[in-house]
Amino acid sequence: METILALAIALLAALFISAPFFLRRGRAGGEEYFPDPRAEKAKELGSRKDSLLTAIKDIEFDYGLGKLSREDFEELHGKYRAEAAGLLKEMDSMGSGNPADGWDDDIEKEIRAERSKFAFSYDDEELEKEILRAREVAWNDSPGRYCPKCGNGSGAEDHFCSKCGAKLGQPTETQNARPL
Amino acid sequence: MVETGKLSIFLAFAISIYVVCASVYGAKTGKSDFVKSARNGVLAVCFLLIIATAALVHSLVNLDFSLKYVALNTSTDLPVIYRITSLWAGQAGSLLLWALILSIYSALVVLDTRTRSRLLMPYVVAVLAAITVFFTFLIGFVENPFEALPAAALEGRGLNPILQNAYMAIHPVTLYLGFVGVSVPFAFAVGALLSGQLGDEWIKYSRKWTLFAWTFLSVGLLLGARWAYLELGWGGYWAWDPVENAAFMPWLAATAFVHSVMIQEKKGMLKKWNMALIILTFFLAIFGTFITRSGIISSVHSFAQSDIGPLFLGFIAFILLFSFSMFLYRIRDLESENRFDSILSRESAFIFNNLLFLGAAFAVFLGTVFPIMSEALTGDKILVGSPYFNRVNVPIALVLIFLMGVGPLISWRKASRENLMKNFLVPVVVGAAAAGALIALGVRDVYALLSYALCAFVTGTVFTEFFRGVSVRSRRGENPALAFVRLVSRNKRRYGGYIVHIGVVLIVVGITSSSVFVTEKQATLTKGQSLELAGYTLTFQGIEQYTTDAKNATVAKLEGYKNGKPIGIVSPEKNVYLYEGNREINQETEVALRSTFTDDLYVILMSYGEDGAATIRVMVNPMVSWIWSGGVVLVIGAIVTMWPGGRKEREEVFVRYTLHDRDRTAKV
Repeated sequence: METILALAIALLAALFISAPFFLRRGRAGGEEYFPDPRAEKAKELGSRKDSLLTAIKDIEFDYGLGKLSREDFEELHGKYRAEAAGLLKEMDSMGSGNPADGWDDDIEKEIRAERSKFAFSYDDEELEKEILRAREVAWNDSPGRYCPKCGNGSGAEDHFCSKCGAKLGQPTETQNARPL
Repeated sequence: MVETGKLSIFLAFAISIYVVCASVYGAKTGKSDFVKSARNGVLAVCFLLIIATAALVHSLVNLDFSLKYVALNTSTDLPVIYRITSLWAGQAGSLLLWALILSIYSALVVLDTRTRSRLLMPYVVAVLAAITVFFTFLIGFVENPFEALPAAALEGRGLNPILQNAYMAIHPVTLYLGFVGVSVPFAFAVGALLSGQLGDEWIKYSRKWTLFAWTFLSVGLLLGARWAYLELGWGGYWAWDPVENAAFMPWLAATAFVHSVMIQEKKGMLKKWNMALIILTFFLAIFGTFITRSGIISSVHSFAQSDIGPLFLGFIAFILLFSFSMFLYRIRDLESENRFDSILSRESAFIFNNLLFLGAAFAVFLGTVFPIMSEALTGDKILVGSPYFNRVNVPIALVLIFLMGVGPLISWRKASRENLMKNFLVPVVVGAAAAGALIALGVRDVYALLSYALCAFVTGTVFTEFFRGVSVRSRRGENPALAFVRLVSRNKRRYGGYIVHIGVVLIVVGITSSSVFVTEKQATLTKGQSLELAGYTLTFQGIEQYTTDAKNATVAKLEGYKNGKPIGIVSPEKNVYLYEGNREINQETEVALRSTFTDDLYVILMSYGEDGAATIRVMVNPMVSWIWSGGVVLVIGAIVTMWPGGRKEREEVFVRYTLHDRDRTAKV
């Protein structure tokens, strides 16, 4: 009786181990294994992205608690974010991760969720700063001007704001900085 | 069941060899069938070793005295629970347990990484299987638990009574979970060296296993200490015994490793350190197993006679040679990505941390092997005792405690004067205040003062960290309790680590108090006489005797008072066990222990006379319970660090926001 049990166990083990050679499920030979270089690259990028995002989170936190000097923070923060941005771009172009358009809604949802939760700690302030900075970049890059009353964009040649009708003066330094 | 058990072990051995070959072949040729087959092999080996273990437990519980192992470790009057735990009471059973736990870890790793890292994993699997080959070889061909006696014994030898205790029942398992667990990060590291995947992957994927193994090493050590305290009856919990050191050394290396990998993740530095540390940790774990199991400690000669000893040594030599050659082969790929900026920075704090832990491990190693070496070389066994170990390790420990406080607060790269002032003011004040208060209370021992002050300093830093984190969140409108919970859950590794540090502080305070301020007294008392010590009064009431199934017990009854208040009857015992298992321990001492927050009353019945007098030894050990409580806090902290979760979507959103916006405006 026991011999039968023992043989059964041995047989089961042998079957289980040789199964991959027989159950090919539509794959050819075994050469498909050579990890698909694109898939491997995507995984590697994803892993690097995770590490960068964790690093960004950590140094923001450390800076908030005063463990990092301002210069060091800005240098490291900028470096990480630039690298992460580059990575995301590369990942998007490879077709892995969400396509860039799908992010709009995600962004808005995320912001709303965070605001309603008061779960921000100092991040709230940082978020405002982020937004300002991001907009600043946008504004400084674009060729137009902005209405001092409602912030609406307008062409460089306009004299009146197309949205609220306010008079637009000569373009000055201050007008192009932080309309909010 | 015995035949099935035997066959399962042989099959496990054969399949493990296949796994090593198939995994490496599959990785090198890109043939996924072989890699998959190898992974199935790992699962099969796990299944087989579970069967073998079940078969052995079955034989133990049913007292099959035809098996040598059962006859050596059980007896008819052994309670069922201890028949099960006798699985790890002897050589063959322990090795089977090692192999079983390794196979379970390997199976879990395989299941956990089904879709990950196809370049790295086959080599990791191969390394784990190679270690399994060694252990299944030992239990298959050298120390087989299913070895039969020429004729079935009529009665078993029985289990040593000092092992018949809840702590001894679980201590080996927890320690093995630690020892064996270290194989996993080791396999990842060597897998990284073999596959050339020398980035962060191997560290990231092995992190949870490392933490898990480290936690169990810590728990195993503390349980062993508690057992020694309760059962060995000399009043202490740690004697720098070779078997204790065998578990402590890998713990030291593993702790260094757990910290050092944080730097590689954040700064891409210390890559060579991390490789070397994990190889060392694994080496020390195997070496520890070797010391405990090979008999080399009692005598170099008993080692030579045992078959296991030389094989273990061979395996250890092979591991070291192979790992370090691969390390040297890949050394150029392990260059740092960043430079060192200053000696006053978090990076160098971590390097000092590494050096100190290594130093301690080396010192303990030296002290542990010295008697062996001296006996092997000169024939004279020169014993190395506590004084050596304490003299070397106490100063190292004090500096490590200091670093435990400094590390989390000092800034990265280069600490400025304002960073130092701002972050360290409160903790330094707390430490100094503690020292001042203790001096005022009359404490003069320098080591004790330093230890307490540094522990207060560390507590100050941890408290500052939590306080600042919570207050920043509360400023945003979150209530403090919620802020605390959210703070920890968003930064589990950081704050879990801080909780572990608090656990360590409690343990250190307990160790310091019970080492420096212990008091003891011995006296022979007749009925009605009392003994006084450290506020306790014990009045001898008389001797009683009773018998149970297992033993004949002699009890001394003492009425106890603490500072005038009654604390009940204190009853230390001396036991004679009824069966033969305890050859040298026929008079086993049961200590009477009363533990409180402030101290432990520890009473030993040394001897009793015909005239009804009893010689008792009393010790008052301050704050020993802090050690065990510290252990609990440590485990809680470790669980927090290992808890899954941690969304990174928010950070990704911010980065995308910037990126996205930039893109959009470019179109305008």
